[in-house]
Amino acid sequence: MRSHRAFTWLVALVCLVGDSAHAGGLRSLVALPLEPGGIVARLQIIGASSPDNITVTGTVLYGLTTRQTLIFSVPYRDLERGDDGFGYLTGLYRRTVYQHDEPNATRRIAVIGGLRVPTDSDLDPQISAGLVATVYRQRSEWDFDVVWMEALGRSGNNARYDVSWQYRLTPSEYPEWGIPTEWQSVIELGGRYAEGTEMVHQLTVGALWVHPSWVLETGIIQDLNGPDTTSFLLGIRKHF
Amino acid sequence: MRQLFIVAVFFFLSAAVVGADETVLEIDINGMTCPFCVYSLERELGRLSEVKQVLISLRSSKARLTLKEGAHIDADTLREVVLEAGFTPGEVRDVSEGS
Repeated sequence: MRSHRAFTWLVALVCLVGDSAHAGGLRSLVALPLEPGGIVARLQIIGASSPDNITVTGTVLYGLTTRQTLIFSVPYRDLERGDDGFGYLTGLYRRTVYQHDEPNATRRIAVIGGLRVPTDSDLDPQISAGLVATVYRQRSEWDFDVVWMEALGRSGNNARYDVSWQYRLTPSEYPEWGIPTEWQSVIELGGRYAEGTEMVHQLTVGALWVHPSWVLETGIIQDLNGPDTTSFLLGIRKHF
Repeated sequence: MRQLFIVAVFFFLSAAVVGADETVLEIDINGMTCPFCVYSLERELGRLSEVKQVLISLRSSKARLTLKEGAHIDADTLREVVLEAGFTPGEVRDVSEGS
């Protein structure tokens, strides 16, 4: 039962990992804009060392309006032993409720909520609700999120938080004109909670290569407590 | 030598005539924070029928638009495109040569 719940939070976390499909952290959510009709697609692969498994998550963001975005996410897990198949299918709605822009800086807050539908008949659907904040100044971006997932049934609830810091390594200074590619370092602290288990805190360290319409991402995720799992992350995002 | 001089004068005058009708506008834009974020803004500004070229400056938080010959565009139209892309527009200036 405990391993089942632990697996539930693992599936839950990868379901919501894919939200930040445009410039933001590796696993944190982000409150940056997506233009009306704009589409961002993301594919992220996370390979864990214990238990040995790979999860592939596909995410699509669609800009409804300047301040409203829809997010759809589908993870697929491939375990060495046990259940293969799709995890929670997630549909989220994000709305910016606060925005303050300055030259080369921004502060934004968004509310996020939606429905997570399990493909496993032993689990119940969940309603999720939370807050996302993004602060950018000079060469640093900070993303914060906290989300609660309430089960519509007897299976357990879930929750998560993330604090992410991305720092632009290159270029040290932008050119006068033109949109350059850039390298960013990423450090994140996150927590994943599944009812009946302790909150597992995780440290993620990685890098982003940011092109105007592509982002390549890589990182290592280390549990700071609990299962003591080390995972490797590889992903790609495309802005259409 | 005389022919070379005439050709040089011809090209000089041609360049002056081409540049004379080309309007260049700059618009201040706040909230631009990274390449991936401003990709759509550059694309949307470039889709305006009056615009020949768009340059974005993340360094100076502005965009420079070179309009097609004889074209004009309303400052409010530019500000609306910036707002739709999710950023905050500021002053619009005509920085054309001779303006």
